[in-house]
Amino acid sequence: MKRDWLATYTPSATAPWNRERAGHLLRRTGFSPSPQELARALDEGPQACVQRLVQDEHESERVLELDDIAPSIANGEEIELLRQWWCLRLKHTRRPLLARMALFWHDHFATSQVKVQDVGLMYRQLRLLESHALGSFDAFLKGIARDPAMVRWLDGNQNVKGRPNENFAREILELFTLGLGNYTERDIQEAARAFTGWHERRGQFAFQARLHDDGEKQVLGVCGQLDGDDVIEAIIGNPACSRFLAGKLLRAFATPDPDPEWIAAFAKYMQSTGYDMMASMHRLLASEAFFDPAHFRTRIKSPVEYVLGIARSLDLKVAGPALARATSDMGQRLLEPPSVDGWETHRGWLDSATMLVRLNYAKRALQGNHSGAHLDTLLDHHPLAGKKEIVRFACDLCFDGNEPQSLRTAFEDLKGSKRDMLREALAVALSSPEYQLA
Amino acid sequence: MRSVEWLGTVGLGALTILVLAKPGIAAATGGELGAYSAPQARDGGAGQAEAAGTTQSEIQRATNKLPAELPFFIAVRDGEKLVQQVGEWLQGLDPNNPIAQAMDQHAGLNQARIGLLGIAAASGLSLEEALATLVGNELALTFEPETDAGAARFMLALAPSDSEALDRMLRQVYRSMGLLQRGQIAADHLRAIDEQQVVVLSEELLACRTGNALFLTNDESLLKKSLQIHADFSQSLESYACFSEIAAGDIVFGAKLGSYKSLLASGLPQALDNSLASILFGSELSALRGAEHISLRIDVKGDSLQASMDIAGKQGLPSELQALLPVEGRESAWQAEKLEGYLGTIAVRRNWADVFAEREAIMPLAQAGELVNFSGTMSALMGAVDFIEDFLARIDGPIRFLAARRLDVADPPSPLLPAMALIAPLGLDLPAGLEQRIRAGATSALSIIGLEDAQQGRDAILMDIDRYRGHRLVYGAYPRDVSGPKTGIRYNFSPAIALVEGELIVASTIDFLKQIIDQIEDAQSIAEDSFAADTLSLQLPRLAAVLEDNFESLRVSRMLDEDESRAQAGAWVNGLLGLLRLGGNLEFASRPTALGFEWKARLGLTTGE
Repeated sequence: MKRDWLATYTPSATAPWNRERAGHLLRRTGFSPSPQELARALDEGPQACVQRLVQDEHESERVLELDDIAPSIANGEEIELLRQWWCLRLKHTRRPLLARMALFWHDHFATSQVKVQDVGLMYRQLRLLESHALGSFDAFLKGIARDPAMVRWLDGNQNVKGRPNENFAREILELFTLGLGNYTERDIQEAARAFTGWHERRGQFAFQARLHDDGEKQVLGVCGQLDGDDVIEAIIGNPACSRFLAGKLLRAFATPDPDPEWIAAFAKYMQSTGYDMMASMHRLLASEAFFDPAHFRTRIKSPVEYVLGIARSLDLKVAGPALARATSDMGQRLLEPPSVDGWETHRGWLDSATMLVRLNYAKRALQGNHSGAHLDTLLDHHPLAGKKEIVRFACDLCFDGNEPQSLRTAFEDLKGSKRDMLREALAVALSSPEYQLA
Repeated sequence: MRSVEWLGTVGLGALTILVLAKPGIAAATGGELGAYSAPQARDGGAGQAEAAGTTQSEIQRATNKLPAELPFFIAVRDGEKLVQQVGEWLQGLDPNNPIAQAMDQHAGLNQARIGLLGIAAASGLSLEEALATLVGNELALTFEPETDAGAARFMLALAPSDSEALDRMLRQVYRSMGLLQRGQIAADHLRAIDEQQVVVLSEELLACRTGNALFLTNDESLLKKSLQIHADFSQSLESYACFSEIAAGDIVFGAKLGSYKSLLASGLPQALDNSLASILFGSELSALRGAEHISLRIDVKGDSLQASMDIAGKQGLPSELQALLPVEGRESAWQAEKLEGYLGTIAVRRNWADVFAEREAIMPLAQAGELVNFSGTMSALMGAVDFIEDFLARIDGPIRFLAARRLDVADPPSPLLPAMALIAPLGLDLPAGLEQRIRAGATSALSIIGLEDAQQGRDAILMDIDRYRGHRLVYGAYPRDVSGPKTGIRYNFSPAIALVEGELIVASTIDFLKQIIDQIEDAQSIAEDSFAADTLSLQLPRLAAVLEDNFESLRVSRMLDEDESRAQAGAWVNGLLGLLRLGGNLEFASRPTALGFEWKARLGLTTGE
C-alpha cells in the first residue's frame, strides 16, 4: 500500500505523544527546549503545539526591546553588533519556528557582508527573510530579487542592457529555485537580460529603465518581453521548483535523507497551496512521517542550534559577543556565509576542530559567576536530592529522558557538592555525541 | 537626619567591611568585645602603653602594635576627622544622583547602618561619635589570604580615641549577643594568653582589650606576638620598608610581596602584545614583575582625595628598558584647559629616537617589526625624509593626546565622539623643507583613506587645503549623504593637520584644529621645561557629558554585551554617569623612582549635582 506521507499524526498506544516526540518537534522547529517549553508542548498535544509554533505568537519583551535598538545598529558600521543582536534575538524569541525559518532562508539566499559591506543592507535583508519566512514564496522571491544587499552581492549593478551579468540569473535558477539539470544555459542568458537595470542606488532598489533590455526573451519555455517578475512567475510555474524547495525543507527540518516519494508528496502539496510556506510547514510538522522515530536525532545540529539551544534550554545569561563568537568559532559566522551556496550543513558542521570548540564551549558555558548562580537557581527550582536525580534531570533536559549508554560511566563518576555534580552532569551531557544531534 | 543615615553607612568603614558585613560574625565579635571589663586587664587602663620610653603619639597608633609577620596591612587614621570630612561630603550629595540612590537602597548597607545605630544609641553616643570611635586614633589590619599552605590569617588593632566610649560600645554589643552573665563575661568564653585576658568569640575568633588597644584575630600566635611587641617597634608593621613613605596618610596600605611576588609575576604578561601599550606601560610592567614592596597612601581632604602608590623592587629598570623612562623637555606655552568643552589630556614624555632604537627589547618582535614598517610608511609618505632622524628625534617635550566634547554639532551623528588631537612638539628651528614634507605626507595619507573608501564603494573623503590665522591646514571631509540620513563614525570627523609654532597637530576635526590654533596664537605665557613624568588629566563631569551625548549607544552596547534589558542597561549607564558626576578633575602622574615607579593621583570630589 502506498504510504500517505502527509497523513496527520494522531497519538496512539503505539505512537504516543510523549517526551521524545515533543522534544523532537521542538528541536526541529526551534532549539533544544527548556523544561518549561517541553511541559507546555506535552500539555498542548501535537496539533495545538504545531498550530502555535506555526502561527503568530506575541514576541517577548526583550525581543521588542532589541527591535527598538536595531536601527541604531543598522546605521552603524559594525557587522559584529548586528550578529550579536541577531544571536540575542534568537535567544529571547518566543517564535522559534520563525527564527529557524529565517536562519534557513539566510542559508538558502546566502548573502555575505564580506561583499555587501553595508550593515544597514544586511539588516534589511534579515528583516526581509523574516517577514517572508512563512509567507508566499512567490512574493518572497520577488522581494529577494529587489533586495539591495542581494543586488550588490550578485553584481546586479553590472547587469545592463547589451552587457548582461549572469550572476543573479544563474543563482536564482541553480541555487534558489530549480537546481541543476532543470534549466539550460540559454535560460540563464535570457533571464539575465530580464533582470538588466534591476540596480541598487544608495541602499535602495532602483529600476534603471534605460539600462533594461526590454527585447523579446524566452525563459523556461515562456516567451515575451519578459522582465524579472515574469521570469520569477515562469520559475514558480515550473514543477522542479516545488521539488527543489520541498527537498531542501525536508532535509533541514525532517531528515537529512528524505524518501523521494516524501519529497514528491510535499512538493505537490506546496504547489497546491500556491507556495504558502505557513500552510506547507504546518502540514509537514503535523504529519505522521515527521514524527516517525526513525527520524529522531538524525540531523547534526548547526552551531547556532547548538549554542542557542544550550543558552535557551538552561536559560543561561550569555552575552551577545559570546554567542556570536561561539557560533563563528564552530563554523557558522552569521551574515557571512562562506559562499553563495551557503554553509555545508549536517555532516559539514563537524570536524575534529569544530567538535573541540563545541566541547570547550559546553564546559565554559557552565562556568563563571552567571552560570554558577544559575545552577543554584536550577537546584532551587528542581529539588534534586542526590546523584541519581541530578543524572535524571540532565537526561530529561538533554536526551528526552533517555540515558545514553555511552555516558553511564561518566555519570557514575560524579562527585562533590550537588552544584558540582549538576555542573559536571550537564557538561558531560552537552558535550556528548548524542547531544550534537537534533 | 539624612546626614546621620549616610554617616552610618560610610563610617562603618574598614571595620564594618570586616565585621558587620557578615551579621553572624558581627554579632559574635561585637558581643565578646563588649564584654571586656577594663579593670580586669593587666595594665589596668594604662596597659601596654606604660612600657618605658613610650610616647603619647606611639600610644595612639595601632600599626606599632601589630606584628610584621603577614604580608599585607591597611591602616585608617583619625576617625573623628575622617567621619567629619566624609560626612560633610555625603551630606551635600545630590539625592537624585544614582549612586546616592543606590547607597540608600543597598540592603547590606542599610542592615549595617541600623545595627550600628542601635549600638550607638544604647552606648549613649551619636552615630558620628560611634563611627569615630570605631576608627579611633588608628585602626590597623594586617592579613594574609588563604594559600595552599594554610588558612587566611588576620589581626586587627584599634588604638581608641575614646577608651570609655569604645568600652561602652563593646559592652552593648556583648549584651546584644547575650553573653553577659551578671554583668560579666561568661567564664567559658574567657581564657588567658600571655597573662592577658582574652575573649574567645568563636572557634576561630579571639578578642583582647588592653588598656590602650583592642585586638581581634583568628590566630592565637599573632595575638601573642602583638602582646609581646610592647614598644619594640622594630618587630611591628612600622618596620616595613615602605612604612615611612606612607606613615602620615589618612588611609594607608602596604604589602611586602615575598612569596606573593611570584604569584603577582605569574599573573602578569611577560610583555605587552601591543606596541603602543608597551611604550606607555612597559616600565610599569617591568617594575610590577620585579616588585618587592607596594605601598599606597590616601589622604582625604574636604573636596578631594589624594593618592600615591609606590612600587619598588630590588633594582631599577633594566638598562635595555631605560628608553621607556619619561624625559624632560619643553612644555608648550598654551593651555589646553581653555579649549571649549575640554575633556582631558594624556601627555607622554620619551626620547622617541631611543624608543625606536630599543624597540626589540621593549616589545615583542612582531610588534617591533610593525613599528619598523610604520616608520618606513611614514618616511615614504613624507618623501625624502627619514621619519626617525628627521622627525622622531626632533620631538622635544611631551606628545599630547587631547580630547574635547563636541558642542553645537548640527545633526549630530551617533555615536558622537569627542574631538581629538595628537600634538607633537617639533621645535621652531625646523630644517628647510621639513614642513612641506610633513604636509605632503598628510596629503598622501588622506588620499589613501579616500582610495580605501572608493574601493569599498563608499563616499570618499574629499581633501582640501585651507588657511587659518596664517597657517596652512590640510584636511579631509566626508560629503553629507544627500539621499537620506546616514550617521556613523566616518561622518563624525574631518581629519586635519597643521604645523603651528613648532607643534605638529593632527586633529579629528578641522574645527578643533582651529580652536587649538587660536589657543596657541593667543597664549600669554612662555614655554617652560616640563618634568619627567607621564601625566593624565581628565575632567570627569565633562566625561559624563560626553557619555550622556552617547547615552543610547552605550545602552545598546550594554544590552548586547551583558544580555540586559533596556531598563537594566539604562540603569547601568545612569549609574556610571552618577559616579562620574561625583568626581571633579582627575590628575594623574606616573614617574620612575630609583627602584620602581610612583603613581600620584588627585581626584576632586563633588556632590554629584
